[in-house]
Amino acid sequence: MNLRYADPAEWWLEISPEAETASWKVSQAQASRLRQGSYFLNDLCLRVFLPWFRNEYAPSASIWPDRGSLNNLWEFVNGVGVRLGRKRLVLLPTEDLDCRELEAPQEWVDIPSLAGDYYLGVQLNLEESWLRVWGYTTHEALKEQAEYDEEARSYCLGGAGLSRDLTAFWGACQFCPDASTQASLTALPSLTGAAAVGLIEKLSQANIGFPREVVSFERWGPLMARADWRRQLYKNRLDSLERAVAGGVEPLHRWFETDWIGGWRTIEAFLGAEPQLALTSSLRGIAAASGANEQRVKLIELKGEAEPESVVLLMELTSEDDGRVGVRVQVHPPKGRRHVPAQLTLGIYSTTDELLQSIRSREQDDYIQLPLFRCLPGTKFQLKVGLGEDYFSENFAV
Amino acid sequence: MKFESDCFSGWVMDPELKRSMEVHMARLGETESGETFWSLYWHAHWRQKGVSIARRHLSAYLQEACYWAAQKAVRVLKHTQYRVSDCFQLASVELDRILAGYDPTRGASLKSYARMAYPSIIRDILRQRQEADICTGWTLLRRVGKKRLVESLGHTGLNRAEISQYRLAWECYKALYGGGTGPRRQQGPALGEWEDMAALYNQERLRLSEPGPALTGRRLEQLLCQCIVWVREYTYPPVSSLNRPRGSQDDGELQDELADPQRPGLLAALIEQEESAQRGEQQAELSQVIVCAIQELGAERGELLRLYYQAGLTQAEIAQTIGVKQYTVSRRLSRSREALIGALVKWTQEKLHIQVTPALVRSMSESLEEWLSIYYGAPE
Repeated sequence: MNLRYADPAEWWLEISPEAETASWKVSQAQASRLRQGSYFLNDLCLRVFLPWFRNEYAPSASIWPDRGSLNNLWEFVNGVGVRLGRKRLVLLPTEDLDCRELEAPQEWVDIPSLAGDYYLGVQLNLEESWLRVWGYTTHEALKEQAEYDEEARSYCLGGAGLSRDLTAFWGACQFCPDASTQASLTALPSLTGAAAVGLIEKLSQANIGFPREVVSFERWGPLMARADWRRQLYKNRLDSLERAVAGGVEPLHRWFETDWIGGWRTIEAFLGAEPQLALTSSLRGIAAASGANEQRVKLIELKGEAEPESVVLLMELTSEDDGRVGVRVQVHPPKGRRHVPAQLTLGIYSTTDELLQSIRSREQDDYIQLPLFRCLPGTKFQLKVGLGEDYFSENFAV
Repeated sequence: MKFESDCFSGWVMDPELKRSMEVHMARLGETESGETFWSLYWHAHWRQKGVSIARRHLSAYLQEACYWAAQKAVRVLKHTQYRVSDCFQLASVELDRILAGYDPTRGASLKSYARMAYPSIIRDILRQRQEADICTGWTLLRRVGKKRLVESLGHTGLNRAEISQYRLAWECYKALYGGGTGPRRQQGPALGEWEDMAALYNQERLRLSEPGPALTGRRLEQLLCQCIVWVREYTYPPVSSLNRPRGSQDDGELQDELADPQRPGLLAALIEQEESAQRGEQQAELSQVIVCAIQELGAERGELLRLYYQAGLTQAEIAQTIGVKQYTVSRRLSRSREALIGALVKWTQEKLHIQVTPALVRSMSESLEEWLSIYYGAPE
């Protein structure tokens, strides 16, 4: 901790290694992947600041609204609530070096149930293990003087309304506990239960990275205003994101766009990575001849009768004139084998587990393939390769 | 202001500003007015329309405060890297921050506000630069802050759509790579992580008004590397290049946009100036209150205050001098200040019977800072 530049008007706190570890653990358990970093900062801020604040200044200070609500909110937005008597503090933690302005997300300003009285800027320096409270402002000042950032949906305040003097903040809390700090709050547009359910359904999709930026604040605000809806959205998002990761939904549309690698490799990359599994002649021939738009291969292993059997899955995507995508799936033996294992099944299933197409290998097939299967972009299906009791499956979205 | 071997060597008169003052004085029919009047006059005009000639007057007026602050910073912080003229340049650039932060209704004059604000701004800038210097590029990118990033991008001439795209890429970087702790964060993402970020970016960019092309992991890495370069160049440029004017500034012509000055507002300011004479008496009593309060803090705390305000040591140095942790020094100094404010507030409530508002507490705290500097006779 280097207080070379410290000013007595700021509050400097140490961050213990235990606190960091604890917060990191919690953030991994509670937050989705994209929000882990942010959750970590907020949890660490709460973990370090509140006990210290109770000890140094206000023994009766408490979490606001409540730990569960903060848990849900941190999945979407920054901000730590602390209740101090009749006043609500909103701490805004960041790692930013630059403390020229205080950025308060709209949720904490315009949603009446979440609007605060004082907003405190908190800078964390994890490399040097300290945290400093460097400035504060009021709800009133935010509404009157801050600039609204439309992309980030936050109020940003620099200038005279933002004070860097925490002594003055504490003085105000101590001697003017009833001073007017909030601008008048306007009620949010109402959202019916049915509409909320629909909105939650929509925003739970795994392919939405930042849900709060998808709908306007007129709809997002009312959704976030209620604890039960927040909780529901939080739960749903975490569930669907987990499913997406576990189910390994391979986004086929990406194969057209980028050098997306994932578990499926281009044939060149496949050769490069596993040279011992050089292509069999059949695979090479087909790869050369078909002229399809995108081909990828994947090596899978299944438990055979006597020993594990490896096979190479080849998938070809063709973009058709009518906008549909043609999908062809083949199974080839690996190097050193001439034939695909017998009684190997290859099938395509719909998302409702309905079998769409399948084929079974015979005794001496060089390779097996399913008929070309055309579908619209957005279609989801499951591929299954079975041998005896064992099978491999993967989900795809075109 | 002229510098010679890093010392103040003389004032250079700006002929345009001189002419401008003469014009305005003639227009107002004022031949003598204190500096208080004129500082408020130009500040009101600056605030109202951001008029450039007002800014230039104010800049010239505050140069002295800026210089003293720069000098003090170098002396106290014992920088080997930055000289007085460097700090002066760094601080001068932040003039707008000072002007924006000044509130005439709080009672302090612009000059005394600037005298308090400049040191704190210089300290903040130096702190940032030090932290930025030791950051690797990837850490810097994570910690740069949205406002700086957008300014840096704007400065390179990117259009709005491009800035939005870069900003989204930056958000994806922070979301997927910034979290947690440990040395891993300094090295930079691995290819697999770049691929993930690119996938997220490609998915999310469809929400932008102009999505732009899809990116591969490698391409995204290149773009963000470029961002880091731009951020360093713009945000923490080598000090010598600060001599070049930044942003758009009118130059040359006198701005004759100034219509009638806001008479009532200025009148109120003048009246305040009158009242301040009465305040002089109260100030003497106030001083006494503070002195007593300091004594009540005890010898130890009093010594800390002396070391900070009189000897001008940094908190780090104080910790070393008296052999406690830096954190403890910070706590004790903060608590001392708070106790002093407490004494002032009590006195105000008992003697002046005026209602204590947060704004009043704030201006008290500012004045306390100035008072402590003067009381401890920090050498200037």
